[in-house]
Amino acid sequence: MLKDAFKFMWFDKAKMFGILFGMVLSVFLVGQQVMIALALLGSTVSLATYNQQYIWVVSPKSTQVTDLPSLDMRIARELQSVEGVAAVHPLIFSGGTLKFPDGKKYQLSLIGTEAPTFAGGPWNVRAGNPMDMLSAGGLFLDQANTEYGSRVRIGDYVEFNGQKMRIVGRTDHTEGLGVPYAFTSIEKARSLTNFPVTEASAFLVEWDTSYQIPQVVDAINRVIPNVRATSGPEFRSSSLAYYATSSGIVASFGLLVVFAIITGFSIVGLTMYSAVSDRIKDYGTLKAIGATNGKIRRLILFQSSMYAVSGFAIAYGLLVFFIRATQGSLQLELTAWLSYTLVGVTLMIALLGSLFGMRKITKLEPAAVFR
Amino acid sequence: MLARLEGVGKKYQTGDQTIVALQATDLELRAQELLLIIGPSGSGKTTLLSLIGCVIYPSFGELYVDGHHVNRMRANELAQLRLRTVGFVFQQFNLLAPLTAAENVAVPLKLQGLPGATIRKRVDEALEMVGMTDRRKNLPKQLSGGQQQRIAIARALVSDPKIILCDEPTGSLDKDSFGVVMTELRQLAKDGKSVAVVTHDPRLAAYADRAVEVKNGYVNHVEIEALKS
Repeated sequence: MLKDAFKFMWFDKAKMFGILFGMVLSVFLVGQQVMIALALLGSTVSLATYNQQYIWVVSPKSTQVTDLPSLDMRIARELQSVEGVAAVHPLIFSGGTLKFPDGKKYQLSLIGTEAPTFAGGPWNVRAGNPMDMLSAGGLFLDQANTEYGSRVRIGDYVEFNGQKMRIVGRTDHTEGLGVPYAFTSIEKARSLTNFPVTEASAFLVEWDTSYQIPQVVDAINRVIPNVRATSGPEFRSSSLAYYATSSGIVASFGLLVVFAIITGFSIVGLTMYSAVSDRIKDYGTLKAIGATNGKIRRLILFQSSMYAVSGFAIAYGLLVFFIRATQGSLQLELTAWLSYTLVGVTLMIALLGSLFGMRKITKLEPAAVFR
Repeated sequence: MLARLEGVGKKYQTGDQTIVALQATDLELRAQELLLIIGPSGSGKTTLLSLIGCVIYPSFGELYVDGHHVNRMRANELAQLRLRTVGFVFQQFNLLAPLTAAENVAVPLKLQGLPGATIRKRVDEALEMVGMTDRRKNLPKQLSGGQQQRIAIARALVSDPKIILCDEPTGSLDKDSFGVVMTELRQLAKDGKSVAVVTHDPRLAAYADRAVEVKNGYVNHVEIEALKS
């Protein structure tokens, strides 16, 4: 039956390629759009993603991880006194202009962290030692940045907000939504961005492992007024939710995904219907000979399954190629769940697309073959 | 008795109008017999053939095929009955265009779910019977009309049905192929099958044992000798 199904497909090559084209186009577009949306959303919360091992203490006005209104540094001492807190690390999050010797300027977000733990960054370190940030003007820059990444060489000098800095390390894909991150010591970050020594953007809290995280989080929120403490994963999730609902990323990419599915479904459905219509005499003959509707439906399902398998394989290959081609600029990832989702989308398009044809055949009377 | 029609007829509803395609008919199909169903176009002979072939349900009367009461059977049961009991030969051959001659012949056996080795053996036998072994790998479009009809006969025979129903089997054939096909059908009747042939070609009377004429939906027995003359 499988061989006969394949022969039915192969007999009409134009329709076969039309259906495959629709399938590949749809699955590729869905995968591509979802990957880009996830990469964009992921980059918006990368600061929280790579610091989920801490309890985040931020201002109650903070909406997400890159919106961090200043907190009084005295809160650090108050946090130390809360039961279950093991260590408190202040973090500075500010902005500025990076200038290369040739005069080219770039807007950056600067993250200042405290030695020796450097809680808050840098992460994805590809070269250099964070301790070198303590040397005069030590700076970590993102080597994956499409605009200046290739010029990030350790030992080279640059300017940040007009002050001379030396590149002491390279990171990989450390960026927010369209804004790359640079890292330095908390003291240098204050000096570069005029950030008051009495303030910090957030506190990253380590807890005593004999306590449960919710206990410590509750204790902080109960004892210290005008702060909001949340676990790392929770802070990441709430930041992600904020971006997902307010940035329009999910809405615009989601719409594209829906259109991609509708387009694929339409192309596959109509072409399969047309292929069945062209072969209606053959299907009628099968029914007259003694094929039940179930057996003919199976023949169509075999065909749509073959379209699904080959369409998915081609689309998956194209997605892998797309990921490699955009490696420098986007951190795209074809995760297991996305792969399973794409399998589901492919099957859905193939099965729903074949419904029109199956319906036509189910309604076909075997007596029609005599007319 | 392989098929028995007791007052069987067929009517269709077209809007407010009821069209009687076949009036109440009594008829029997016997083994080792070639029955000719003649009549002008639109007279109801294909309706009669469709009823005997269990392709449509009778609107009234009782229809029995191979001991089964067709009126009481469901569509899927009817399909199974057709698959095992009836072999069809169509005017336009109706071979499945994407499949080779051998694959076309194998279709009824595959639908029965027989094992591959059995299918190959029986397809070889059927192709040999109609003298088309050397054309087994050809697609229908690579065969002449006569060759296609012989493949269609092999397909009708391969599942060893008791009844062979032919709808204008020589309508699309030249003179030479006409003789070959009718001789094969005659031989099948001699071998024990019940063969019913719908035609408006009186030349086929030379091969028939019995004939009925369908006119305006009414079925009447006619003398075969009268047709021959």
